[in-house]
Amino acid sequence: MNDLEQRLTEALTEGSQGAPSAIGLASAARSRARRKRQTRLAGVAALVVLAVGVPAAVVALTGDGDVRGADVASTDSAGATMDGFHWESWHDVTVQVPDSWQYGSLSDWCAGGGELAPRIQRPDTVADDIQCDPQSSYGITFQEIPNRDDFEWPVVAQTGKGWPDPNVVGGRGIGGVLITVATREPDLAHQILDSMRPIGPQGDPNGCAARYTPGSTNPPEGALSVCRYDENGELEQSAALFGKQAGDAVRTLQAAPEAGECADTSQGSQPHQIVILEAPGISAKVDLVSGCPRLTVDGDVRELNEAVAGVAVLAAWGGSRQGMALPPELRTE
Amino acid sequence: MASSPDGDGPDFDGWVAVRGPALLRLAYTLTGNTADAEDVVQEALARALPRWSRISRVDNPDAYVRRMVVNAHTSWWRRFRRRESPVPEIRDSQVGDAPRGGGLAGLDQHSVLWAACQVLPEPQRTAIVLRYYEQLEYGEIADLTGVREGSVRSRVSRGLATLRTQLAETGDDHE
Repeated sequence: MNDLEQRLTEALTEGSQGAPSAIGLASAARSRARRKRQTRLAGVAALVVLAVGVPAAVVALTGDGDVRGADVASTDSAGATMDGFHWESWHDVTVQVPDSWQYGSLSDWCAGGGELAPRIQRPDTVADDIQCDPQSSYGITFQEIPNRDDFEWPVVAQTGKGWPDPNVVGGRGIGGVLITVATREPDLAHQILDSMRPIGPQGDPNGCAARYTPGSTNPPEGALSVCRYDENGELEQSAALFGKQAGDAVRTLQAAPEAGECADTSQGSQPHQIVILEAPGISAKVDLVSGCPRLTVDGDVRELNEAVAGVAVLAAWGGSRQGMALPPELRTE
Repeated sequence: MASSPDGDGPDFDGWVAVRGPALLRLAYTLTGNTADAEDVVQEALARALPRWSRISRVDNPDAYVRRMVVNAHTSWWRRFRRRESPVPEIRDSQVGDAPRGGGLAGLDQHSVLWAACQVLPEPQRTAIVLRYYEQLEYGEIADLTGVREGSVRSRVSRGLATLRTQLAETGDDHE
């Protein structure tokens, strides 16, 4: 460590002594946890930001720009999937998204000379540290928010450097999950927002439960369900593979070689991501444990090699590692 | 530390009593102000509470909750929340000091670095704090923040360059 780094360490350590007292911290956290259901949308100011520039006619149509309560039905009555769309899920909600939308961060769209192609961004999406202009591409983001009431933000054009031109941006919250959609056309934004609904007891349209429990996957007919859960067992991502893609994935899983022992099993007991792949006749689970990722196929422990990762796991999401939160063994730089 | 009711791992209140101060110091170093530090840590703990029976049984609950604190600090929601531009809080030791030339001039070296760190762009500040305050390795920071290790190194490097410039401008760069 050089002189600057040493002084920086000392400065930060010394400065940290100005931190507030921890007295009452636990009870304050309990109070906040209790208030989460009643807390107003934190960022009512964010609503003000979205409402800037709302034309008078739009304000009149939506009742002075007030948020309107969302009339939601669960996925138990999801209805048909629109042509050219598929279902994307996160935690307790699912929404239809155009098939052409890629996975990745909206903020690093310009990395590697990229274009303003719409993207699907989740909280764990890996993003390059790069300043793009405009700052955000089109697409959809998922976020957890304190307000668990159902609400909608109006779909309005945004000005400034934050968003591409032309644009409309809207949002919708259900049960503590906020999705924000930015598109070129209002109709598309409304189609996406209107399709959003909570995941019911039968799971999302891809067959994945909102929270993982063994046996909770319910694949649609003829499909291989692929469900990714975070370390808390909450649904991060889901997909349903059909036809040749499903057949290739099943054959790859069944052909995966037996696994040897890992050199480092110390992280196995830590909470970690898992991926469930299930169809009639096959049930597989991937434990994404750093240092010792594991594949289990119908109870047999197999090797999670590149072929399995690429064909069976990542195929569910376009075959790309872009934006995926993976343990080091499955990442590429 | 008392065990949680199910017998495994520390109970929530006991754990917070012991580890809370360190979490607040981390949050204060990340945010630069006491109100935001309390907000970030309370938010992280409020999220941890419903899952405490599971969190308390992991090998390292401290690291688990620390990750939640860092995530609470960097979440999109906080970035888009309307707020005034962050102003580094004046620490007690500086009260009464007469600055010689305005800005950072007249502050001691540590105060210059602290103030300069607080106005770094958030990604650089987070990487700097995790590297030099928490003493984490680059790989650990990458895992914690969900950013590639190369990006972490780049953020730290750029942050240090800015801090070095600040010190030079105040005549305190002795490297």
